[in-house]
Amino acid sequence: MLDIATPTLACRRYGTPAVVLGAGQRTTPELIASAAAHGVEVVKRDSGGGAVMTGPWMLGFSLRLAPSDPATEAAPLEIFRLLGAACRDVLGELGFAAALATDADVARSIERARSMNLQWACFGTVSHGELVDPAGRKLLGLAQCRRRGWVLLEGGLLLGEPDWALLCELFGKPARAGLALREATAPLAKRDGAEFDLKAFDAGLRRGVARYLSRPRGIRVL
Amino acid sequence: MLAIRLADEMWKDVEPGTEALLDKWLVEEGDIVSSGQPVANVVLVKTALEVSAPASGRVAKILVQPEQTFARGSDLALLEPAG
Repeated sequence: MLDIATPTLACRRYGTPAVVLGAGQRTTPELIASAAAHGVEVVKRDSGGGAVMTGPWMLGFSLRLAPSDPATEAAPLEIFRLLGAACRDVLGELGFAAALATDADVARSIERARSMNLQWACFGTVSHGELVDPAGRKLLGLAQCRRRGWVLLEGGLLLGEPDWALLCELFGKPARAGLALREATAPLAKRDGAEFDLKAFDAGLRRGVARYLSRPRGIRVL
Repeated sequence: MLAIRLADEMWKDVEPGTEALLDKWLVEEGDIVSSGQPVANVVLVKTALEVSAPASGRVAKILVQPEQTFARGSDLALLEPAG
């Protein structure tokens, strides 16, 4: 990899559905076969977290920090909070209300995910730095990978509603899990009637990354 | 013997009781490793992390197997320091 000193950001949209597994998750023959039967690709990312169903309903982004970036000295949860704050700000600029998940949001979602067996899905839980709507429903998921001083942060923003029922079916989960995921999430496109402006989001997130992730270690953003 | 552990600073602000997942060992028992060499991949709160050897030496015993979880401060393996 090139040893560049500035963060590298890329935003993307997805044309076709795919299941993206977190680094610690395992593919199974059943998952591969079931996904293939529905024309859904199964891929694995380098970062942690639970499974995501990507598709036209999602905006994805990746942020790579070189070892020389001061933010790489921050603990994983600190970096999540900084990136989440940058995302919150740009969404606010675009007219979408979003807030960083509070400790109470996190604790509540962990308890709910345990009771409903949703831990396998990224959007089944809310973690630090992730964004929720005023009702505490998740709209942005984050994941991270650290290798030899490099940090890769990845985000998935819900612009619409994924096929939660299909995602659960592929993982052999009951239909009620799909309903629970639907209740626990809040796609942006459902509110305000506003169209999502990808170019404006990209530009705003670049400003936010410069603002929050260029600061020295120890800054708390809440 | 030295213990191979996930660096404590990675656990900062993590809720008590949370465990990490041992995803994959990059070495086997008996392998010779260098100080700082990545020896295992783990996952903690949506973050994939490397565990590095604390010194040069030989991996004497692996204590946590892939797909097992472990708590903060756990010994993941034992390292017999060189020399």
